[in-house]
Amino acid sequence: MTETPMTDNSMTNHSTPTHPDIKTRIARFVDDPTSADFATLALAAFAFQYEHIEPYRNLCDARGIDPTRLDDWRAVPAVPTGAFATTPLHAAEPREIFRSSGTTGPKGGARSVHHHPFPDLYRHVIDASFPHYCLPTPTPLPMLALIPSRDQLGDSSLGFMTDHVLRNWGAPESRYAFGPHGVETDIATNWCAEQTRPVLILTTAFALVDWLDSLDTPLQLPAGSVIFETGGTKGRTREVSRSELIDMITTGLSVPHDHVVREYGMTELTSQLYGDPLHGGDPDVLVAPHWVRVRILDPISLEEVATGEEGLISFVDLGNLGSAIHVLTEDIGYASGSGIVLVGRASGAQLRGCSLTVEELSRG
Amino acid sequence: MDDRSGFEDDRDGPALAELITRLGEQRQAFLALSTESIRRAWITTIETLLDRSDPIRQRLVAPLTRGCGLSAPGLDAALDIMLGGVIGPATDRLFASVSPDEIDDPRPDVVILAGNIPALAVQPLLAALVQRRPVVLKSPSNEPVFAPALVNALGEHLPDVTRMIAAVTWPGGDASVEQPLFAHARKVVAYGGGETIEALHRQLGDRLLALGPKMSIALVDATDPDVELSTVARRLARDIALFDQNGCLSVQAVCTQPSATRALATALGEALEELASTLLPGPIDPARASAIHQLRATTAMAARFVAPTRLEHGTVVVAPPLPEDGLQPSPGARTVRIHPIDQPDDLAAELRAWRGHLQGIAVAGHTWT
Repeated sequence: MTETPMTDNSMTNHSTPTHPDIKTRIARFVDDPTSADFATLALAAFAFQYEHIEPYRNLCDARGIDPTRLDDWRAVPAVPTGAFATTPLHAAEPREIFRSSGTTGPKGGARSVHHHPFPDLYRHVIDASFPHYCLPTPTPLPMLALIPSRDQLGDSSLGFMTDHVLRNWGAPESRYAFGPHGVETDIATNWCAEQTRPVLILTTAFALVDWLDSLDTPLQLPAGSVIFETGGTKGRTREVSRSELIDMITTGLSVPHDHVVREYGMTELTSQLYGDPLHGGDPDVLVAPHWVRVRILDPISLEEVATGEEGLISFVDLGNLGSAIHVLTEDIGYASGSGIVLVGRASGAQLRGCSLTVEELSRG
Repeated sequence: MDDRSGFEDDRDGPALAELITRLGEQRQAFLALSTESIRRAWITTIETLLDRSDPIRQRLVAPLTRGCGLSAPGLDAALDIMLGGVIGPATDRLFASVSPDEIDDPRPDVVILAGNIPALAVQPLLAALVQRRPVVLKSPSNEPVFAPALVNALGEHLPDVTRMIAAVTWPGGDASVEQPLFAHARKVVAYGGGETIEALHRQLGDRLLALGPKMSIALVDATDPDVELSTVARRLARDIALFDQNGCLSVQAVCTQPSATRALATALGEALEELASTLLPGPIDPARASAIHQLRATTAMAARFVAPTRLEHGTVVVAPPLPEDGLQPSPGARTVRIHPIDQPDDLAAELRAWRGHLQGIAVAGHTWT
């Protein structure tokens, strides 16, 4: 399948967590949105986290929030993403530990650490969302990953996801093209040139720019090919606007904009948002699966803002049962139709994301 | 009066070089002005600007609140402090004590102003007047109005001085503009953030007088029977709230005995809440708000006390003992960490790390040795 062996670090021999009921209920809801009510599950997950995660309980107590009296999931206290850098948050023994890419601002900063007790739920979430948003048909596709493998970055949440996707949804000829110094551009180019049916390329925006910059002549990927693209081109070398990136993809790979699926996720979360162009959605509007609620909050009051108004993006992600279902990001966006549009980072916040891992490795 | 008359937006390096050369030629004329005439003109100018009903002051309010990110009441308080600090007996003594004739190197200075403190220009301009040294005042792009208005107003009372002082602006960091200007300057005085200072230092070396980011802290000896926490808290709150914590004397961290941290945090939180109604806080940008939410959440998660204040009115948290998190700058918006320490000596190592950036230490109580 690939020349880079994919290892499974899920420690399947670990004991199962206590209170499996809520996890089972969430997994069932992920599969079948009619099996439960989001609000009920969110409050149950909150109660579970209050009971099992001491720092989170401290936060709730300090705010006077008691799960036995709370009846609105919107009032579940949010954990800022920055808190993951300093405070271990896990409801059971972690079976995976994910770290953000080590991007720091000019003055430095700590990496986020997501102690994940339920990687099986993570895989479940991937299986319920990735194929829907990224595969034109529910059949394995040849996939090329311009993302560090689990061997290269064992603590990368994106690497975990990519590994799972390639194993379960990638055709046998799928492979990685990312080496110790970054994108292996010749391998990537040659692999693409050999493909005769639609492919899926999983990549960070930065890696994609790296690769496209290396092309002497444009490639013509088979019609129906899809680009799964995540992260920005934030970094210390070259930044490319979104419209420029789309132009590069269209010109360099002959993949139209409506086959570029943007993914928005982060180390601190389990689930992801996706653009939905394969189903006719606006490629720049990111939609959430039914087990996730995304809200745009006033940066000061944390009250929800009106549709179209910009604010801090927050998630209530049932997939995050093991850590914090309500996460407040440092990203700015606004609600649009059935999803959100990402505007950028709250200026001055730490730069971070998978793109900088690529940059760091490219310079190594 | 046009507040921008005298404002020159000379982005061309040669034009600025010509400007500073022209100013330098005025030194003898500057020396010929009597100290008393300059002093009187200065006092009259500052008193005009202190008068909240004066049209010049009123025209400055909107652009200054926008440029400095303060509320209107916050701006009024800040201007009173800045302007009040450059008149009075101390200023009179300054005029009397300096003998401009004895000053070597008559070349003009260039002053690069920062935009976060309103009326900052009064300090370097006073120094220039006392020394009779022509000066170029560069305003930041986010606040280009005060310095020209000041020079204009001074010129109303001492017309000759406008040939010796210029208020201009240009995009910072443009070497083609700055190098010809700096080449003719005795010194460049720069206020501003770390990046500005670093860039100028690379250009100027020893000719740069850097007045970069500074931090002030407070030590509160709660065991001193003369220290009444609520009184100390009110005074601290004012120090914190003035300039919305952007000033170098704005207290960013407080140290006190472990047994007093919560009581002091509570009192300080209450004082900040009370002060917010008269000294209204300015707007808070999303990045700053994010940082403050993070501080509040991580403090609470660690089961340490967070004063129950509205974020926009200020934030007071009890921090872990030093050196666990270290003495850190505040994220701003009237946010303060209260660190437990047993003795002031516990701070020594922390303060060494802040050498060059520590502006002041406010002290309450004297029983600590």
